[in-house]
This record gives sequence, structure tokens and C-alpha cells, in this order.
Amino acid sequence: MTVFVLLLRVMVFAMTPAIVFAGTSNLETPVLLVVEVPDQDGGDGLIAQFTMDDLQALPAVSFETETIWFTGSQRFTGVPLAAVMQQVGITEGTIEASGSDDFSIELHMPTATAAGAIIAYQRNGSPMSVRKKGPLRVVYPFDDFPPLKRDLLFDNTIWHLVRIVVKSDIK
Amino acid sequence: MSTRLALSLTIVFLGALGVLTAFLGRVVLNELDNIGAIATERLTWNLSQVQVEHLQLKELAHLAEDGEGLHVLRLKFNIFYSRVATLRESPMFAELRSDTEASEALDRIQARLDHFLPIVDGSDRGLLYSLPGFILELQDNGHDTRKLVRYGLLAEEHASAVKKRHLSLTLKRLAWVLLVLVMALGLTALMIWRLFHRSQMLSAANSITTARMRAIVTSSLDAILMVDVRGRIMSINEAAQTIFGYTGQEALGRRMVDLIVPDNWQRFMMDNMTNFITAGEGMSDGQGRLQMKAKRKSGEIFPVELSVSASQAGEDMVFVFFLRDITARVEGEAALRRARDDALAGERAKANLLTVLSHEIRTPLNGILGSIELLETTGMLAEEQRYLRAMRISGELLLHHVNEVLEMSRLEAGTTPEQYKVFDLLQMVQGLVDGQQANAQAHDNQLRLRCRLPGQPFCLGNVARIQQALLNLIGNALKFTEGGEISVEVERHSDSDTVEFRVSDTGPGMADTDLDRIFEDFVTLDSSYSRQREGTGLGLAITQRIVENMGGTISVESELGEGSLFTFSLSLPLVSKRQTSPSKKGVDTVIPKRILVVEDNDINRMLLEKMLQRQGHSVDSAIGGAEGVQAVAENRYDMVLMDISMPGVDGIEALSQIRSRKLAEGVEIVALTAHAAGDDHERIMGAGFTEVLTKPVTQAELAKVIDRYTHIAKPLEDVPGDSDIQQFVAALGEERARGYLNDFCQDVARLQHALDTTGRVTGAQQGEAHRLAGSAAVLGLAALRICMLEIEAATPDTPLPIEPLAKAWSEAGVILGPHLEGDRA
Repeated sequence: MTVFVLLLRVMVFAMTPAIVFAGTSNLETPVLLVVEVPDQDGGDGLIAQFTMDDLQALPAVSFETETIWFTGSQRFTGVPLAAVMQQVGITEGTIEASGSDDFSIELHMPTATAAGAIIAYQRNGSPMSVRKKGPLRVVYPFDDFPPLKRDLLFDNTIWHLVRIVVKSDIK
Repeated sequence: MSTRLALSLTIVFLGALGVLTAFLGRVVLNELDNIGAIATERLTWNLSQVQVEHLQLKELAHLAEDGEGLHVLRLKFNIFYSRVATLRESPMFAELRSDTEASEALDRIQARLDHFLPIVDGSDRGLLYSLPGFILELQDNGHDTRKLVRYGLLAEEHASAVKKRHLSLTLKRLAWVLLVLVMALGLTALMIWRLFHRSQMLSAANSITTARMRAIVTSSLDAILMVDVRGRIMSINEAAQTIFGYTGQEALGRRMVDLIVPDNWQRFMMDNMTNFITAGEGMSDGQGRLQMKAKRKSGEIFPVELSVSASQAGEDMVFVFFLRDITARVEGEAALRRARDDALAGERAKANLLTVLSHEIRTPLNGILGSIELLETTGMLAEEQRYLRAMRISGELLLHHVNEVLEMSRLEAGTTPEQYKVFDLLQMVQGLVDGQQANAQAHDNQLRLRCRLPGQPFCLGNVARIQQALLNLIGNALKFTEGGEISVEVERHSDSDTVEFRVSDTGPGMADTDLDRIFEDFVTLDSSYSRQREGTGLGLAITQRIVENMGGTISVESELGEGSLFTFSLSLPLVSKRQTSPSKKGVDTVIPKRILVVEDNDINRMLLEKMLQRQGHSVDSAIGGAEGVQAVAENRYDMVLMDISMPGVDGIEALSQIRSRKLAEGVEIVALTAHAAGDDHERIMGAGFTEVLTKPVTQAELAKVIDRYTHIAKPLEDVPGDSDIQQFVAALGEERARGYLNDFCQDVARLQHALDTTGRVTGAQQGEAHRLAGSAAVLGLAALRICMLEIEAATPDTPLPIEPLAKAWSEAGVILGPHLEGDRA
């Protein structure tokens, strides 16, 4: 993992346009998430790709919560959004998350981190198919928040997540 | 007060309304937020997404007929599937699902999707093969999705209507609260306006008061100065300017103390002001007035009356001085005081002159009367006898008047000891009236007595004074009535101590206008020169004083030509004859006392000894002051009776020796004197004697004095009103009395003889005369006593009272005769 981070750093430093394969995993495993970090000076920037194995290699978080999409409490398992973004050196700023259904939202990183946003890959212990709003989706532990905040969080979720673009206003 | 309360209540109310408004405003904001309700938005968005994704799927299906983009078709199918799953699963769409039509449409869409599921998941070829059927089914789906969308729109419409209704309700509530708030504000404004109005009125009233105060201050006749705490004059009114002579300009800002307070008062003034400031007291703090001096501009010092009040206005204290120029008043008062003092002094001098004069008149008058009586016995012609008789009657009348004046002055001085004793009222009055019957007959008057005295007749009172008062009234009535009737009535009001005495006559009576003044001194109603009745005009004045001294009242009623009625009432408490002791201890036995009698006169001394022994006491005697002091020093006595006039050491000297040497501490010493005048009594009491007894002393008086000053109960026998000589004989026993009387007669005769022959008196003879005067007093021989006293006091220049002595002696013979054995030598 350290090697990976070092590698990543070297590449960022090198400022060379590149596609980063976010792990040494088997190439046949499909890429589920692409994170793009555009270069501030108008360069080509950085693109990171994550397979399921890559995500599952990061420390997992799991919680149970009520949602407006399912009847009854659901258990979600995944990686914190902050952990994924840290892989590309992003802790602040705004990101745009898009789904395969062309839906997209903007997230403010510190807010999302504080709200405990995760990129879930399992619901109730099973991987999620596209038909079940998978394979990746951003959720929060909604039950931890008061109704108004919860409502806002419901709007800041996205399913069928496939792509994250870091907005250019980062420092 | 109530306004202030209302105001605070209103403010609290306004505060509460404000809080309520803020709360409602927040609610409204919330509801406005909710109008674009997320949930509804989400529903509508999802439903529209269903349609969008349906159309995308349909388009992709058409494109895929050429065999291109099958994987995109698959992805879109899955996404659509997932969207429909959301409608079926999410609690957001529970309402939609409960709608039959929408639910059926949803079920149909799901059924078609499920039908194609294996085909989509299957091979590309299978999918391509089934595409035309799939597209047909999708057209049906389009129909159903439109239904869903329409439902969504309706639901949204409905929800927004509900929200609007809710909002309008809340706004209405807010409007009400605002209305109340406005009203409360209006009320507050009203209240503030009223407060303002009131304060304006107060200030108007205030300015009126101020103007009035200014008018008062300006027009005041008293000087008014306002002074600050440092003593500087702040304002000064016109009166002050007039009184002190300073103009306002000159006075303002100057120190008041420097300006108008005389030097010797400045210290006092400043101390007081300091006191006033620090302690809030002193000066004449608004109540008292202070008299002091003030100074004019000219330097003139004059008396003022000052009052100060302090007025505290916030931090500033202001003194207001009111000063009144009282020069005229003070002068007036001084003049008045002088006039009064002069008048009083004159009055006193007059009274003294009268008393002295009367006293001095009495002695020569006695001489005149004595001489007249002697002349009467010398065998004069009938005509001469008549003149002599006229002279004697006139002389006696003059003596009576002089005695009245003396009596008056004695009553005025009030020094006569009150001699209360138990007596028989009925018997006393009867005796008195009987005694006046001869007098009544001389004026052809009838004198009657009526008594109404229920119960037994003994009572306690000053019998001698009562007799005197009654005699005065009866005498008056007899004097002014000719051939009429005088009636004396004595009545005790049932069961009370009060006894009423009434003396009425059928004489000429008096006019109403005169009734008021008949009790005044020297009032005689007939003031013409041809006065028919003689009199000093003192009789009724004396009577009134006697009655009032005994605590009684006297009044008179009269009708001109009808007669007069004098009434006086006294408190004469009843006592039973058995229980006659004033000390009421009910002890009849005498506790023997040891008593010393100091008396130079043999007869007197023996008389006293016998009287005291008869009362059961043990008696020692001393012949003169020096021996008396010696006896007191050697023995302890319970009481001492001491004569005042003794040769050598007299009574007063002896007393002062005893007292200064503390020989008889706690022992009462009672004086005996023949001097009846009030002045003498005063002198004796002043020397320190306990009481003064006037000779001749009766048994009862002795008993009473001993009882009073040795605190022992003893029976107070009502001593019969015997003459002095009878008492003397009774006290000594006949035999001894006779012996003493013989001696006394011989002594007097010897002295008389000596004086007759030599016409001069020696010192030894004067001493003898003093002794004999004392004896004469004891025996009740007043005329003889006076003669003896004259002899005692005679100087070589004065003539000796030879003739009066002869007359007195012949009178004495009549009295003493029956008690003597054989002839007097």
C-alpha cells in the first residue's frame, strides 16, 4: 500500500498525464470507479481507477440505517469517501460525482467527510447489482442526524456511482 | 402608582407578544421552506426520471436493432429496472402504490421488465431476436409511465394545496398576533401620552406653586434668607432687605454669619449649622423658635425670633431662615413685666402695712379700752358715763375690725395649722345658735335652727373654723336684719360626707350686681358717708377663705327686699364615737412615751407635765433652754416640747444647738408659743421645729401631736370645751392648782404694787413679767398677758401700762376667784 502511495506521489510530482491503475490487481477485473484530478495549470492531470478489489483493500466501514429508498433498516458496507479521495491526495474542495444513469451531484469534501460519507459496495452483506442501484453508491449513516440534516443528506447521495471529478477550484 | 404598574405590565405583555411573533415568523419561514417540499420534489423527479429513462431505453432499443450498442441497452435496462424498483420499494411511493390505477400501471411495467429479464441477461443474438417484441412492450410501458407521471403531478398539486392551506392558516395566526401587538403598542403609546400629560400638568401646578411661593416670600413681613451649606446667602426677600438694610446685590454671595449675626452670636450660629448638617438636629428644626440677636447694616443689634428649616434637593441642602424683628415685642414684654412687678410689690407692701398697722393699733387700743373701763368705775356723771360707753363701744368695734384684718392676713399666709378633730356637729351648732339668741333679741330678730343629720352626729373636721364661718354668717344676718327671721339649717346629704350649712335672713337683701363682689376684700355695699352698719368688709372674705381652706364651697342667693341665703358645704366624714382615733388602729391603750418639756414658766410647765402624765406618758422637765439641751444630751426622748421665748437660751437657740450637735436625731421637737401671728409661726417653722403649738394647749392637741410624731395610736378623747382655767384645774388637781394660782396671784399683786409705787420697772421685774405673761396665757387671761408683755418690753421712755394692768387684774379676779382659797392678797 505504501508503495502504491509512493508511486502515486511520484506520478503526481512528475506531472505527467497518465492513467493510474489503482492497484496491482488482475487486469480482467472491471474498473468500477474512475477519479479524475485535473491539473491546476491546465495540464492533463491525474486519473485514478478503482476495481472492487482496490476498494475492498481499503479499510471497510459498515453501518445500519433507515433510508427513503428501502422499507426497513439496511446494512451498508464500503470505504469512506475520504479514504478513497486521500488516495489521490484530496481532502478538501468540491468534487462532482456521476452515475451511469447520467445523474450527478456536487459534494463539498469536508462536509461529506464530517457526515461520514462512504462509497458502499455491499447492502445487507451482498454486492449490489446495477438493478439494485449498485455496484457503488454514496450513502451516509442517516440515522445519526436530525431530520432536516438527514433530508439534505438524502439529496447528497448518488447511486450507480462510476466517476468522480475533482473540481478545479481546489487549492 | 397604578400607571407605573400598568406600564410595566404592558411592557411585559409587549415582550411576550414579540417572542410569540418571532416564533410564528419562524414557523412561517419553515413552512415557506417546506412549500418546495423535498419529498414532493423527489417524488416528481423520480417519476419524471422514470419517463426519461423509459424514453432513453426505447431509443436505445431502436438503435440496437442494427446490432449496435447492445451493452448500453443492457445498462439502461438495468438502470430503468432499478428506477422502477425504487418506485416499488421506497416508502416515498407508498401513497402512489396505494393508488389502484398507479399501482396496476406499476405492476404491469414490472411484469414486462421481469418478462424481458432473462432475454436481457441472455446472449446478444437472443436479445437481437427479441428486440421488436421488446420495443412493442416498451410502447405499452410508455403508456403506463405517462399514467404514473400524471399521478405524480396530481399528487404534487394536492400536496402543494395542503401546504398552502397550512401556510395561510399560519399567516392568519401571525396576522392576529401582529394585530394584538399593534394594539398593545397603541395602548402603550396611550399610556405614555397620559404620563406625559400628567407630568405636564404637574409641572404646570409646580410652576404655579413656585410662583405663589415666590409671592409669599416676597410679600412676607418676616425676613427670609436662603443659605447654602457653606453659609452663603443665596436669596433674600424684600422684608429682609428692609430689616437689615442691605440691598439684594450687597447680600447675595456673602456669608450670612458675617452679614447679620453679631460677633458674640457667630460661634453659636456656626456650631449649630454644622450640627444641623452632620446630625440633622439642633437649631430650631422647623418646630421650635429661637430668640437671638441680629445685626443691621448700621451695626445696630436687635432681638429677633428665628426659625430654620432645611430643604434637601438632591445633593444640595438649603437652609431657609425666617427672622422676625421682635424689638417692639421684647420692649413691650419688658415694660409689662416691670409694671407687673411694681404692682405686685405695691400689693405686698400694702398688705404688710395693713398687717403691721393693725398689729400696732391693737396695743394702744387695749390701753384705751382698759382705761375706759377703769374710768367707768370711778363714779362719773350720767352724761360722762354715756360718752364713756360710746367710746368703749367704738373702741371695741375698732378692735374687732383690727382683729379681722389680722385674721385675714393669717388666712392669706395659710400658716395656721389645720386642727381637725372629732366633734358632735349637732351639739356644736346648737351651742352656737343658743349663744347668739341674746344678740338676735337685741335686734328684735327670731333665730331658728333646723338640723337634718341622719345617723349619729360625730364627724371629723376643723370645728373652730366651722364655728367661725357660721358665726360670721349668723352675725352678718343679725346685723342687717331688723325684726325679721334668721334661720340656720344644717343638712347632711344622705350617706355622703358632705354637710350643707344654710343661713338665711329676711333682711334687705342684695342686688344681683352686688352678689359677685361681696366675697371680695373690704367690700361694703353701703359706701355712702351715712353708712348705717359698721364693718371692714372683711367678714365674708374671711368666711370664704375659711370654707375654701377646708376644701368647701360657699355661695349666696339674694333678692332685694326679700332677704339673703348663704350656703356653704363641707366634707365632714362621719366617725363612730368609739373609733375616734384618726390613726384607726383600734388600740385604746396608750403606749407610754418619754417626753421632755422645756418651759421656763412654772405654771405652764406643771400644766403640761400633768396633762402628759394623765395621758400615760412619762415626763421630764427642763427649766430653760440650756437645761433642755443638757437633758436631751443625757437621755433619749420620744418627743420634745419646747417653749420659744425663754430667758437666756431661748427655744430657737436650744433647737439649733441640739440639731448641730446631733443630740436627738430622729426625735421630733415641737414648739410652744403664745404668739399667734402667722409671721411668728413661719419664723419658728423656719428654725426647724416640727410643728408649732399655740398656748394655751389643749389635751386633745397634745395627744394629737404626740400621736402624729411618735406614731402611736391613742384614744382621742373629745375634750369638753372647758375654759382654760377649768382645764388647768382639771389637769393639776384642785389642790395643787389652788396652790399655784395663789402663788400666781401673789406674784402679780407684788409686781403691780412695785410698779405702782416706783413708776419704773427693773430688769428683774421685766423677767418676772415675762414669766407671768406665760402663766397668764395658760390660764386664758389675755388682757393680763398683754400687760405683762408690755411691761417686759418697756423701755425707760415708755409709760408703764399701770391702768390696763389694774383693769386686767380685776377681770382676772373674776375668772380666778372661784378657784382660789380665801381672798387674794
